[in-house]
Amino acid sequence: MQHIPKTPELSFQAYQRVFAQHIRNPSANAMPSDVPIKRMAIYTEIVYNNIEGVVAACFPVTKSILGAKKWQSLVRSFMANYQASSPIFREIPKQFLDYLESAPIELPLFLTKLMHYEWVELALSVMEVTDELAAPEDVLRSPIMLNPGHFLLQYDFPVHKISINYQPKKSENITTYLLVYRDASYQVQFMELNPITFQLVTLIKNSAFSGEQVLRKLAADNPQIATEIVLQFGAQTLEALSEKGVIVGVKIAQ
Amino acid sequence: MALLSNINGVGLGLKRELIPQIQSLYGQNLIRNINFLEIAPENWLNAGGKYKDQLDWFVSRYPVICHGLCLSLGGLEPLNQAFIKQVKGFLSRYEIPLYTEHLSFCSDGGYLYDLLPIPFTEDAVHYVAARIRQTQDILGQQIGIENASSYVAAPISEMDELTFLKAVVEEADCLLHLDINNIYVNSVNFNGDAHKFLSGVPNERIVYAHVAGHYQESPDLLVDTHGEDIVDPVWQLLESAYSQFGVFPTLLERDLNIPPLSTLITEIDKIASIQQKHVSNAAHP
Repeated sequence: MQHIPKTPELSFQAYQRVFAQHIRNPSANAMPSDVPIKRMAIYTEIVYNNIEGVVAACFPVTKSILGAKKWQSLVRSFMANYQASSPIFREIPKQFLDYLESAPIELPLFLTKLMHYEWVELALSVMEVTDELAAPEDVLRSPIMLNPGHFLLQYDFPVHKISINYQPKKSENITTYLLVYRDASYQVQFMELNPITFQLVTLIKNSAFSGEQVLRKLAADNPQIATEIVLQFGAQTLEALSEKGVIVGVKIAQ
Repeated sequence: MALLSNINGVGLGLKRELIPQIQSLYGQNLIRNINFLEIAPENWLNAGGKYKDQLDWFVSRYPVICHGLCLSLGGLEPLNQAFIKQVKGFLSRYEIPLYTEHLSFCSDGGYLYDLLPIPFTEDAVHYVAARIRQTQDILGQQIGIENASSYVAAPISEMDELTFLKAVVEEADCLLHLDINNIYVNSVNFNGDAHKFLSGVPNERIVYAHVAGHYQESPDLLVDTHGEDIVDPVWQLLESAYSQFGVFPTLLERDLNIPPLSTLITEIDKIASIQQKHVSNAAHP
């Protein structure tokens, strides 16, 4: 989806278009006429290296799993076919992921999920959180919420364990719940959740109730577990999440 | 209050690698000659977390300039007005008095994130000047335009680089962000005369200058990496610029192979001492 100008293209624009198209895909698109090959190669190299460097920094596991050749072909394909719309450098990796999610390219089934998981770390490290965050006055009795600097994630396989040595096959169906959050010192932390804790965190995410109200709702949703047990273990979990800064108090507007 | 008159002496491009070093040496004699800093809005816009804290720290201690990379003044698609408005908000929020950009393009409908050369044609002068004016209208202030380095001369060019640069800044009525290293790089890459180019720039529009090192790919090809020390011919051009036009604020760019600040500071100090010499010369002719 190339930008088509309404007015006829001027000669310098036509030249620039050929110049840029060659950089995007040097093997398919000719260089501008009468331009030295060696000089043009500087541009194809620096543009590729710059974009590759930014995406490689975000997706180290993905790159290692794919191997140099496949990885390079994906970055090349992104450059050749994607019209990046954000001038912000740190938004290049997400655009690369968006491209791969819809591109007609055969990829391992887990790949874009893994990439999303890797991207979450970048997204959280730069996320703007404007709310003033403070620990809840009383995690059970005062209204609580999740620290906005978080991602609550659910995958069909243990995405956080993927490496060269562990690459899930299609048949695996291990639902995996992960909470990724930014702590008070801006470090991104990862936490695997069991199903009931995932339910608990989801309830907090979608409400502004007190901890006790949330736990009573959790108990009602899980009649197979005795209410007393949900309340007791839930209270401990809420305390622990509050200590880590995952749960914060809801600021009442003055 | 954000004032252009606060930008003086010597500046340094703020790279992530240098941040902790500047913070720990702040106020010490060693880095006394760092008077201002430069950041790329494309790296800092909408950044939260520790990046926001860092930005707050620096803007409260140093005058800061925004030097952009992706405005794409020669780009094929309409200017990204939403981005310019974001930059405007950023300048105002952090009291940054100046925004400069390259005389180049970096997009053909989608971003390529690097500085690509615009052919020097009459049409391109009008096209780019109109886009600079549009940017200045949105921002409500003049921007500075940097003479860009390049490796490929467009065969369709109708004029030389200096004529193009002068025509654009004149027609756009913008400021000149003079890159001394780029003058030298282009003079080698296209067999030109750097001193002649320097003497011809519209010096009354100079707002500040860049100096940097480059990579020598071959005797007739320099790549503008900002990854090496400044070479003697560039120092000589800087001296020549000060003696012809008077001293202007000058910033060291170092983006690759960044040495420890204690080493990098020798180039900062050298710029400061050259400035000092030319200020004294001007005072006592």
